Amino acid sequence: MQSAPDDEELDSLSIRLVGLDENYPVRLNWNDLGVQFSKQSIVVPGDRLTRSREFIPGHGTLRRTVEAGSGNASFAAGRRQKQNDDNAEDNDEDDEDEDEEGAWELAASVAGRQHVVNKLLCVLPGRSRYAGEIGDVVVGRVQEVASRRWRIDANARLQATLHLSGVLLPGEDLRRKSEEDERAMRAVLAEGDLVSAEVQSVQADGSLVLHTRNARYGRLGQGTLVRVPPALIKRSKTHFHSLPCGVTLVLGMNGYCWCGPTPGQSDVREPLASPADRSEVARVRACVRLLAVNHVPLYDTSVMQAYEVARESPVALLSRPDEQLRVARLVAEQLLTAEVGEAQPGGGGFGLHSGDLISGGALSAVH
Amino acid sequence: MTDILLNGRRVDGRRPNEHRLLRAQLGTQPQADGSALLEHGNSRLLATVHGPAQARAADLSPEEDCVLRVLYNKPPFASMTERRRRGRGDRKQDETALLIEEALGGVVLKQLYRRSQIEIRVQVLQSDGSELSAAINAVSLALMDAGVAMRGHLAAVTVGYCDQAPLVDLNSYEQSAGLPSLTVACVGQRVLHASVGARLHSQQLDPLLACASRACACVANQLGQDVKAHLLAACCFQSAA
Repeated sequence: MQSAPDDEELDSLSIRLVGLDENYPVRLNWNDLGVQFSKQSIVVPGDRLTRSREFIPGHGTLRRTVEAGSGNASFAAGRRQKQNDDNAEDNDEDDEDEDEEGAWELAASVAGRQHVVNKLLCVLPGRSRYAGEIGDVVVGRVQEVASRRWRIDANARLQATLHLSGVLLPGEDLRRKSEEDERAMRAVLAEGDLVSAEVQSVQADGSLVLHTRNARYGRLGQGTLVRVPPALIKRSKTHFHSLPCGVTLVLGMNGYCWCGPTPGQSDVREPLASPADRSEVARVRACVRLLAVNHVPLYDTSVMQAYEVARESPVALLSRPDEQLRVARLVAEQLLTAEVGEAQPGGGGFGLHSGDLISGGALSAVH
Repeated sequence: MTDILLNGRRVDGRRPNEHRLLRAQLGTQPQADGSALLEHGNSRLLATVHGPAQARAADLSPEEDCVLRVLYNKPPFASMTERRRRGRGDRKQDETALLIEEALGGVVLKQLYRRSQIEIRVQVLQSDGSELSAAINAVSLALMDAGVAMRGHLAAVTVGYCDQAPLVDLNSYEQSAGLPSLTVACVGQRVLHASVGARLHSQQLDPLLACASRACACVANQLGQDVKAHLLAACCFQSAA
């Protein structure tokens, strides 16, 4: 019904976003860029994945028995892959013996993308809370100082724990923490502080235990936090990036990204960052955000390319959906062409299978 | 009853078995873990999901170790006819919230979310009948957006009975006429919730239930398409990230 708005209407764009006008292209559509993506692999809860018994049910799947004729199905949550996770089996309504006899099938339990690794079949949701993995770099916020531990919000399903024994006190070797250290915990990390850490272990109930036993990790000083969906963070060798523009970027695997001026991690009493530094931080932050809202994977290359593209624009402009789309589209095209150049068959990358990547009218559609 | 069904058409020009236009948009609220804006014709609702997050120890019990909490709010501006301001402890709203909560209890895989709390807030933005079923549909979409594991796609529909014909998806005019009505929420073939709006003859129950469960399947199918279209944009580039 509604036609695409003219230029003078762009100011009301934020209102249009909440409206149900899906025709207006304020967000990047990967299909426009020629990315071939199979619609069959997108499933919603209850969709049948397979009847074949050779697959192992992974995350986001459930097994349901189908009673012949009645159409009634009973369900068993997909067995999870972690050894210590026996949650799925023990309180479900049907037992294993019945499954062997009756016909059962695998169905999706979350909305997302079907993913097969060898025989393991799982469904990866587009957006969800962070499910930790050992060794991941995360950024979290201290919520509570408890006895000998901090409780940290790391965007996970449960609060994460940072033990006093898991931190490296400034200027000290690793040693047993005394009662005095315990009393001075707030001097290290107080409520509301941001901290970068590594996942040390994942408990049986899914909660994370973090540690900062490395000089890289610890309290984050001046800077800003951007929250993005965890699935957008690309796992890479390092998640700490010192960008050439004098900004340090920490891309936490839990979807919390921190941008701050580069010497910023050292001391509480450091002088305030200069306005020029702060505007660079704001620009990097805006770049991370605009990539995230357009579903571009976040890693050092994509953020740097966005920074290069957005360098000329005023920072305030980067919060406008049309400008965000322009930058994200250029970055996406660069990433796609780089991908074709590397031409890794089946290995990593973005899982593209098409040589015909960029459609002709892609750029003119924007400007 | 002539004004409800005249020459086989309803007051808004629909056929008896015709659902109003369904439009859904997911992920409208970036601050929430999941959100959905759903329109059933002129009924318009916003559902947001916060969590699964750490539950307070006081809310947990050995039997119930995943807390599912639904808050339902219908502000006075939502409806043309009823402009009453309803407070937090309002019984009608609390009852609606409870019905949604019960239906969800049968579909969310709670055993995967131990010691967690999932908070769901429903805001009625515009009210034109069938709010309960619209709310259940919106919550179901918001949960999918949040990546919460469920047994299937929960869909709901309100049907009424007039002149021997079941009317699908009652609007507020039809609802205020006091028709016998039935709200049904289904997952696949399984009925998770059924509530009767006005006095319903026992002989009418079976045809209404059959009609409602067929309609639920259609609603689930159509909303599933919307979810897939939304996910296509989000998942396309995440393949290896």
